[in-house]
Amino acid sequence: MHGSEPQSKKLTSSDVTLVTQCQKGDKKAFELLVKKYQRRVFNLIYRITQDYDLVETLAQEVFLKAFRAINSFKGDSQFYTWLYRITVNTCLSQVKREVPEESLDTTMEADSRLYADDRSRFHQSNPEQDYIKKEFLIHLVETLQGLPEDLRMAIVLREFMELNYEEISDVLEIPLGTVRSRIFRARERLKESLALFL
Amino acid sequence: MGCSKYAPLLSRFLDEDLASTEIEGLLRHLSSCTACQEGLNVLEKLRYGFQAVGEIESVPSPDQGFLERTMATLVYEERPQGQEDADRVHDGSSKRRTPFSWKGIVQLVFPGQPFPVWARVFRYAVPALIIVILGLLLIPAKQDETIDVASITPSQDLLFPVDQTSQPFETYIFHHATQQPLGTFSDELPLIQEVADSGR
Repeated sequence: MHGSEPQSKKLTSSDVTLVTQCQKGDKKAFELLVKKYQRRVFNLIYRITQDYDLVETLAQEVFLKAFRAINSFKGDSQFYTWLYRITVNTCLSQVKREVPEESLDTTMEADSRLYADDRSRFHQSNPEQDYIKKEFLIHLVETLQGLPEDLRMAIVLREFMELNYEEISDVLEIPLGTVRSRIFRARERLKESLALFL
Repeated sequence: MGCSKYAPLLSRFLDEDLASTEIEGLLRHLSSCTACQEGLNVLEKLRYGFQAVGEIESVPSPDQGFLERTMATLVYEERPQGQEDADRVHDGSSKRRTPFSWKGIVQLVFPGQPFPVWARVFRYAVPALIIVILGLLLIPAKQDETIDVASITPSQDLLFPVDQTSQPFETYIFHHATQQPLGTFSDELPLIQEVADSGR
């Protein structure tokens, strides 16, 4: 179904061993799980919150929650989808805790992050094309942030975390049909907003 | 055939979520529909955009100390819930015992015996009994605060006739030892009367 599936299965087999050890109280096993997934959890938190300052705090919260609840993990799903579910819920709780602020410099932030490492990325094309690409990417990030939460979660998990539909269904705890619908609707919205660049 | 039917399929096709029959139908449609071909191109450009953002955008990554800091927070955490059950199932070297348990004590006294019902009752009854006994020992005996009214030398003011209770009056209370006035009462006739009566 999806290109990343073989990798996922490979990860799962070692995860089962680590989780079992962890459920016996082996903290070292949990340490290995943290080591294995910390980057991905950081990435997902950032993709959802778009807040640099929050990422580490929330990541710690995620792993702490995972540790506390490790005995409730029965192996019905992949460990990483279970961990992503905790991550998504933690991020959404954080977003609800904080009154959403309309960032005045969203464009500048997106601009600076995308331009930070652009030389190596765009040096092969001409300046005009570079500019259009940069503008496209900046608008893509902005439009993504403006999507309704349910659509955004689905498309972030699909495009940035490269989960397949079943995994997204597992993370978000929604039916497969709903995943398909949300991803389709998210893309339709993005197409409308980015029509000039597409 | 309307293209609106195929729009959701294009999205799923991009994500490799279609069944083989659906793919065949879609490919047949794509071969004759330029609008849907263009639609698929747009979706691919979107995907390129996401990939480019993922590669270019500088995303925070865990530093060297993150793992240590995270594990340090776990040190203060209790063992995960249900750990006891997990230990019971996995009877291995990692088995941990709680430092104190009634069950342990009972099994020390009666080795090899199953945990009896009376011991289960004891588990709650014994601590409750100990608490009650300690409470009785620790609570100081109540001081006898009653005053023997008969021993109080009545002041002149208390010796009013009972039949004058309807009259306005003012009563002075004196300290028994120093004979200094402690207060004046004018509205507590029944009390005073009771004291006066009991003093006789």
